[in-house]
Amino acid sequence: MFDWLNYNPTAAFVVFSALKIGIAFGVVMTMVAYAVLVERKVSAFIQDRVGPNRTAPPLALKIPFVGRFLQGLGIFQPMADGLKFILKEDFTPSYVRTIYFWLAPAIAVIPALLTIAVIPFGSMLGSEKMVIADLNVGILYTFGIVSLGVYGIVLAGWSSNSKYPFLGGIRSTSQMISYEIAMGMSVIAVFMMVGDLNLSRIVEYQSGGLHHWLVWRQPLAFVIFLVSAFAETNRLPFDLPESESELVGGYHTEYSSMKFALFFLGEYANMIASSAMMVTLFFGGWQPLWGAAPAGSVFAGLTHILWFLAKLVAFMVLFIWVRWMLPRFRYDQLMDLGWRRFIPLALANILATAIGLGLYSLASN
Amino acid sequence: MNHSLITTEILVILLGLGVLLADLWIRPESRPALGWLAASLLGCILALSLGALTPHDGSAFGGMYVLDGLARYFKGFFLLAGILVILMTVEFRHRLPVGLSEFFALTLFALAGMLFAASANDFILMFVSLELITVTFFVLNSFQRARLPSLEAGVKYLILGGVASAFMIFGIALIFGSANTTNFSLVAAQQAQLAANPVFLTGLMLVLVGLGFKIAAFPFHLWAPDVYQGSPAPATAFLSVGSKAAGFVLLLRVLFGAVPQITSQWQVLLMVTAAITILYGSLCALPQRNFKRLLGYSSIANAGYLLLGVAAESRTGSSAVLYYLGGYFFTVLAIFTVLCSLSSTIDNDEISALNGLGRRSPFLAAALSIGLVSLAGIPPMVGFFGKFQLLAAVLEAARLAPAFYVLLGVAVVGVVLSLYYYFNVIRAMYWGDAPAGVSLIEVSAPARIALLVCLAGVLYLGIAPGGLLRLADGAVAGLKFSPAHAPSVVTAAH
Amino acid sequence: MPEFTDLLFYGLAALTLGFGFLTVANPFSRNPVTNAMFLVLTIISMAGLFVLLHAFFLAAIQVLVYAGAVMVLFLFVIMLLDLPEENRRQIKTLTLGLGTIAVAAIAGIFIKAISHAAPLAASDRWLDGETKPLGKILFETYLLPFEILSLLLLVAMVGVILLSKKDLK
Repeated sequence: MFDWLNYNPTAAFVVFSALKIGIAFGVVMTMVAYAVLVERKVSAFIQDRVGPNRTAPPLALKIPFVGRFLQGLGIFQPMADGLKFILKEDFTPSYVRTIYFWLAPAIAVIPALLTIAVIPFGSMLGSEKMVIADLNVGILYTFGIVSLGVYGIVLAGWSSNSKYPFLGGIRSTSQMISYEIAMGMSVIAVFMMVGDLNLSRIVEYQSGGLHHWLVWRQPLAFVIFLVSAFAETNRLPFDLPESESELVGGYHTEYSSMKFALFFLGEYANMIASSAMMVTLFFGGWQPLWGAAPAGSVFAGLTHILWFLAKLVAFMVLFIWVRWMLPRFRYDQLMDLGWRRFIPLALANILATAIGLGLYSLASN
Repeated sequence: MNHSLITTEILVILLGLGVLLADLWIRPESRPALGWLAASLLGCILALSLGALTPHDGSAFGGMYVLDGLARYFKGFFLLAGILVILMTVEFRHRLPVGLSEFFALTLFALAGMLFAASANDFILMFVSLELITVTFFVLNSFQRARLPSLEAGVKYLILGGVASAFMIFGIALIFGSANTTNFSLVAAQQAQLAANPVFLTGLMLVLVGLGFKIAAFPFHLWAPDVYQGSPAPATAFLSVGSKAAGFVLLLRVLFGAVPQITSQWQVLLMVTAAITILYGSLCALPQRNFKRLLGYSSIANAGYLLLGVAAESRTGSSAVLYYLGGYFFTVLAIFTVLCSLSSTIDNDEISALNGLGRRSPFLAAALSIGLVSLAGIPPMVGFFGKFQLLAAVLEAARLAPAFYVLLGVAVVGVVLSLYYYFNVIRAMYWGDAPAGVSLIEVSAPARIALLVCLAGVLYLGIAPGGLLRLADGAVAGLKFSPAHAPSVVTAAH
Repeated sequence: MPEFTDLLFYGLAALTLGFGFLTVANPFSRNPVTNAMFLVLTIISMAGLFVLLHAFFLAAIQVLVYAGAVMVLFLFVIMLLDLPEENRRQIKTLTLGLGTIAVAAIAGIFIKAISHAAPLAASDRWLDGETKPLGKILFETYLLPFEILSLLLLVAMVGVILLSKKDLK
């Protein structure tokens, strides 16, 4: 049935890429929706509440037992939330700079989604590599794209033409740029060990089981990356750009309806992207705990994708958990941590790695 | 690979970093002492670099960096300039309320840039070292940030410097695109083809624009008057001595090291530039009332004189450029040291502020007079002999191309004009009325040392020019001049 | 029929030039933020041109450093200064004439230069732009300029602190 694909590599490439993009996009969107639900459930658990347990479509409760159970889990809540966002009035205040006000939410979402393109989310499925674009400069691409995400927030803050959003935008700019440096530097040590920027090859390097994962060889890099990821995604304890107790809602104060939802989506998509990066860089990517070669069968391929998703979800839960456990940093503390602790630490880590690698190559010669 | 060749530069950079770090632990009142220390350490580096540090000529980093006679001549020049500028800064400290140590450190970093520029044998190294100099001067020029003229100087230098750098790097891109190398020697090897390649010629022209900015040649001189007027005096002194010399050494290396053949085709361009630069600088200097602005225009005119030697495209011309720069160095530094000594008592740079200086401080007035007389080119000062050498080179070139006689005329007109504006200052010092109720001016030890060194240089080199001249002549031995001017070819043609 | 990459090149080149023009002379808006945003777009289109040259590392760095960091700081400053929309300047005839002559002269030189230049062989169109060859060039051939640049950055940092810090001792 798919024979014609074998004769025309270009067509095959286009078809499979489109498929992968479509599926990855769908998965990310679903994960965003349910991440919000998990967020609410986890926060409820931490605060000794129940969380969303009422929403259910009309016929769902007719299903005996299962219907009630799903309602209690809040499975239907994201659908209701989505519907609400779409149906709400899309209000644009009169004093905003309209073009940028409308552009900003889109600019905030797009980079987060583009990042997914280079992440190897599985090994092989049939003869197809499970990564949308296997770039040789994969990680640099990610950093480049992520760094563009800040424009959405900055423009939102500025175009709202009001004080709180502006302060939020300004905070976010300096925060994201500062932590991008620490993040980038922490990753350099990883490249030095692997000797490649290609994410697939970084996963390959970590094959052979749990003890080959880079988190054991570069623990400091991982810690810096993790903390920076929190800052980059504007999540608590670094959610100063939107800190509701000082800035009302920060850069998205003036937004409503779907435009607000896009910011929300951007934040969660960014979380997913960061988690995926951490899984790929430090936790063996799609590799199971005991390690595996790229899959030969479709079933093995699917399990690899599941492994990747499981690790991803674990990181998402970590993101959410931290949000409800830690208080917000003060702004000067945030800057101090970034510039005066992490950047020197990351530099020291690069130096230490270089010395270690140099000694290793001396010893092995 | 012979990395030990850059020992001098490394030591200077380490000294700069050391000064920067030392500032963290020393008390504010001992900062001048830090300057003394830096200057004397720089003196040690100078003494060592003359021989012990880098005993052999050679090239390093794949031919990108060369250490030859020309590089040695200019390295000595720059190091001496660095020492004197730091001493000058110590003297100028009353007008630098903050960041004295940083001023020392930045001076040292600019010096490192100049040292690299002296050895650059590659367009990339040339660009990078020029950028190091330029960026440092952005900061040094606007150092007195509470003073608007200083900020103005910094901003003007920043914008025009940025434009010049953009031209230069674009030119380098075109050169790399057409020659597939950035190395001067490798470019020189394929000159014959490149001379016919319009892309390469365009790139070369753009590079010359960038160098023209550094030496303040017409029409890239626009920044000079404002920057000279507004910048702190030590920065101006370093700019007019070091930065200009760095521009000239690179000009010589590009024109006579990388593309001598093309240079001989562009002789008219160099001649016209030199003539207009001399006339422009001299004419604009005439009505000036501000002494530092006057020096700015005088510096443009002097760039013109130096270009005469370049335009002559001969060994005599180039060695005259080196000699003139050597003399100009002592002269200009003497003048700026006087300005720095005055900085604690006189609060502006108008020529009228110098009224009666002859009675208030005979020493400073005499030093300033000697400097100005030398700039004007009157024997027995070094300025005279420098101009004499340049004009001799022009005369020599005129035997082959009569158009040089016009250039000679222009130079003479420039010298005559300069007599007027330099003597205007001397008149103010000796025949101007001192404002009532002013006291004598004390001259501190560092200024005295710097001044004595400079004056000794001005007088000694003027009376006994042979040593420096031989040195300069030896330094340009490595440059290649177009065959048309080589005497052997001339006789063969007859 | 031109190749697909050729089409891409012309498209990206046109975008670069168009955005560049809108950066410096935008007929629709005098808002500095708009100009800055067009500069971002110029930089991104240029990154696209680098990709066509197979200079992937350069393309990524172009976006990462210039679009992602430098321009954000530009915007940051523009927004903090809260610059008003620039007034439309009255351009004098003399200025206009001189400007036109200057631009025409430079353009003339370039057109002449490029029209006389020999086209490159097809094999030269792609650079060795992968990370490893680039690193080798940077740290072996051009090691000295690279290290000098680090000194330059130090100078820039010292300078910025000196010139901008509020109460310097």
